[in-house]
Amino acid sequence: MKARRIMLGVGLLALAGGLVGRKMGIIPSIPISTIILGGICVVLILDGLRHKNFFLILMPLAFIVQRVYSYWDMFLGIGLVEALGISAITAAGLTILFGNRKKAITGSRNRGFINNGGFGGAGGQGGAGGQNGAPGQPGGFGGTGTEIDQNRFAQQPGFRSNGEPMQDGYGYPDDDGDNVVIDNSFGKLVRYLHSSNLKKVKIDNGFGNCIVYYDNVYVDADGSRLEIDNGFGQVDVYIPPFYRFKLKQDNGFGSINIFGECSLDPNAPLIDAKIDNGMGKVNIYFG
Amino acid sequence: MKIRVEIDPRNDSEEEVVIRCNTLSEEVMMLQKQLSEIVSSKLKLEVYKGDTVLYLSPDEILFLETTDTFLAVHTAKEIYSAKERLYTLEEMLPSSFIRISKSSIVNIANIRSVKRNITGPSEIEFAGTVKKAYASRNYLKQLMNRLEEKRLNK
Repeated sequence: MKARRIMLGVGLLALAGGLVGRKMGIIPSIPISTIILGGICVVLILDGLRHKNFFLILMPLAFIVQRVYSYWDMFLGIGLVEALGISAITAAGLTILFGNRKKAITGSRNRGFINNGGFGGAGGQGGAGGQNGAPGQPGGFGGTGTEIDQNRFAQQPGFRSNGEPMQDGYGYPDDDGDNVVIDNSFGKLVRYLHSSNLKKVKIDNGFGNCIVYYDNVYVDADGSRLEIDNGFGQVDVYIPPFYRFKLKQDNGFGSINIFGECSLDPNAPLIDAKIDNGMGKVNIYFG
Repeated sequence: MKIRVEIDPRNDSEEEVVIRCNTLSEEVMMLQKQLSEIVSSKLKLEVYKGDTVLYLSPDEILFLETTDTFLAVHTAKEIYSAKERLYTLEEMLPSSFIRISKSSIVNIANIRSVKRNITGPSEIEFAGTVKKAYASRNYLKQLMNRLEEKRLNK
């Protein structure tokens, strides 16, 4: 996973920084073992931030602070065990107040339900769904409560009147194939998907801005999977509105937003999405 | 300034407008610009969707973006590909199309909002669609000036 690799990289950089600092006398007399543990703690903190786990954030933080400050004789006599205990109690309190690692909630527009739950919020401002007829806010799987036009699907490009995707005679020289993997670390990446029988798209984004368009795409009749793993960057995915959409999300401190409306037609091919977002932003656009 | 129209039924070649002047004054430049606008607004851009060739009016286009493999032409609901180069289209298209990054040109006529971002590219939203384009910081000032110009002209 890209995000994990980045965290490991940052942890190693922190470790290297600690060793250099020790050598230069900026952080004197700290044993190498403590510096190594500090590097591991940095990785754990970043992982905790990604998954909104207060224990993973606070306990390594307490370890680092206590160790560093105790060597500088600035830590008001609080020992390591006490510091860890205080951080654990604080983490427990925060977890009770704000919830731990967000439960992966499955929602689809057909159910009219989605929940974000992360600090970043916004992942479903439409809130309660189509049955309630809540206004279709941006981010809303909320639905408009309007009637489903059964003919609408048949009129969509790329489908026969029975709702099956048209594949005969279609096929592009730049076809991306059934399974597409998009990997972006830094910078901007724009990708237009071309596939006559799309089964799976996997997007792995670190710090950059990744924009993916379902351009000339015909989703497999059995549906297609969309897996997004975003660390600290932004991922925008544009999906034609004539597909059904199901979302399972795991959001840390970032935000997952849905704009526009997907298809309500039960015969429309399903895009089964799984989004793992750390501290970044994932936007899904139907339109 | 005199305006003269010569009608020659025997002339089979392309219609031509010639401005004869002593100096390139502001008035002449404006006239040239407006004539160019009229000419380019009638332009139809040849685009492709799979095996289908379509002819798009510039008004329908939101923005154009180059990728590694092709030039994407975005309308409110569709994405088409074009064979021309971005810089060629930049010259051909009406003046409402301006560059917003090294790889994108936007039609300011369809812009609804610009969300400024100090640290990264600014987000451009369009009327009647969820699509967004991004203006890089180097081109943002030019874009904002053009939008202000457009607003004042109205």
